[in-house]
Amino acid sequence: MMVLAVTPTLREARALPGACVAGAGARCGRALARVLDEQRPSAVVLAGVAGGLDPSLAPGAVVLVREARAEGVAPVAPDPALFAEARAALRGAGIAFVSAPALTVAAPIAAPDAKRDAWNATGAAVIDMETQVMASLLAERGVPWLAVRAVLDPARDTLPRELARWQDEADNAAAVRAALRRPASWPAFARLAMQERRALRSLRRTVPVVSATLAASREAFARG
Amino acid sequence: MGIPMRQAAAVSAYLVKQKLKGRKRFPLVLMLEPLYRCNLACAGCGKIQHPEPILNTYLSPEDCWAAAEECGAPVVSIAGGEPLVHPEIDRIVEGLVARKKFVYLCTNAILLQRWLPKLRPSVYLTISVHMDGMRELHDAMVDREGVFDKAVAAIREAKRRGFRVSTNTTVFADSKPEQVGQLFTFLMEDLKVDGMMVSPGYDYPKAPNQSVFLRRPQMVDTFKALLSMPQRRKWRFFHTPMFLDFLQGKRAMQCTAWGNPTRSVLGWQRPCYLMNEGYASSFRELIEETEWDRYGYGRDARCTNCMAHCGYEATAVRATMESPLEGIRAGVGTLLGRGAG
Repeated sequence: MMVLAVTPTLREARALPGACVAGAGARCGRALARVLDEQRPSAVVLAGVAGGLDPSLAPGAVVLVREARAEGVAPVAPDPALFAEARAALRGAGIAFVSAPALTVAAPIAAPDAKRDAWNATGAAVIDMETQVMASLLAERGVPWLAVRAVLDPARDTLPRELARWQDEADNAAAVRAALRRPASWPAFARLAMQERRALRSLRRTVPVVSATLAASREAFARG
Repeated sequence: MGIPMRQAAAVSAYLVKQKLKGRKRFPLVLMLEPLYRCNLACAGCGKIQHPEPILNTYLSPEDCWAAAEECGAPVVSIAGGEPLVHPEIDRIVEGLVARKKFVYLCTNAILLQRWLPKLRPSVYLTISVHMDGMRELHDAMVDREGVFDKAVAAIREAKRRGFRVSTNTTVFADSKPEQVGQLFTFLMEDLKVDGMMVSPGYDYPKAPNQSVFLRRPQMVDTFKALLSMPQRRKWRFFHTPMFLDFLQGKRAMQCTAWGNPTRSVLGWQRPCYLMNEGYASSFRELIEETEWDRYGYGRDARCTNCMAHCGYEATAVRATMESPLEGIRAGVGTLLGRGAG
């Protein structure tokens, strides 16, 4: 039974041995469709870092996505039994996490006020640019899925303005160039780099547990 | 003055102590429910629908004192049911005050005048009277005519006898900001209460009238309108500025369900004062064996519309302690008794 971990970026995939990159932002749906066609996994774990909306979540906090939401489209939820098994497995492994909705948006939300408004309006614990799109596709194709996100920038943090238009890894170079021209942004980037390390460490601990849950469930399903 | 300086100092010292001890979860306010029996059947109440044998069960004064000691919170809010229906409420209060707990005796005030001669004014005791509106609205909310007038007379008498008196107002969907504002001005200027508490109604699944509850965006709009009124400067709240900011949608907060643990006649209620998923037999069991991360806004559907102070004031207090600026703001708010600006 092949359970595939899918991440938006190469940086996240490097933290998870065997994970596959499906791209970030608007293009993630098409990229995931290609991955599914090529690899035909029996289940998928959507994994990555995310912006925190829930003010109680610190960098590195893990969110097991209970529902993937986006404005103007129907929310998508993982299979309830699978979700319950994953929760139990994470708890059994002693991994701290919260189960909550994730909100998918078209561009990063940089300012704490905007994060607060998104939190008040939706109750989503984290914000990302992929989960709802990819989860919808997986649901459409009947591929079981679970999603795990680790908090990169907590609700109180402002993202450096160089990342405001970030869409995918192709924008990294432009963001670095812009940051080099603005030394005032360096502390924020340094902090973000430290937070990213914490978030990736959390994913490294969490995703194998969730993948194992999905694998066990698919095996049990195959055995009938 | 708002919250007494002695209480603010005691709570601050308690918080520092918890921090130094490295405790992750600790209580701030014990919600003590020595009985569920009430002499009213209010539209928004989810506490009085228990069967008769439970309504007939009362915690003894010794049980109440033991709960306060076991829990260790510096503040005890005696709720219910109607605490003044308890035949030994004076002993319960006296024992808690003797233990230097800051006691908020929550009451609808129907029986207050009868009990006042048996209670002793103290800096540790605040009588907190439930007031949902001016006469017509309040009497409609509690479903009995004449309760508003009784409460007003009891507040006047309590003040005359030297008690600290606060009020507790639940804001419902049909409480217009202007009506609540009129009530607050009346309470502060006419009755001269020491402070007020305010909280949005929680939609108890058991409550008889489900139409009265706000939804979160409505709540935020209502509190924005209410707290931006010009007469706001004369209102004193027993809340942190941060909590009042939260009610107006100016600040994001997650619930701290373990901040206000509830001890009722059935045990230590899980997970909070408003939701019931069974009971722990001890405070320690409640704290250590409850899956706290399962609860809160966005995490549990029942928390979606909850902005109640029993969950969020504890968050605000902890956040205030962690931010020097907020600490100063809260200190000034306490001195002036104003809460948020």
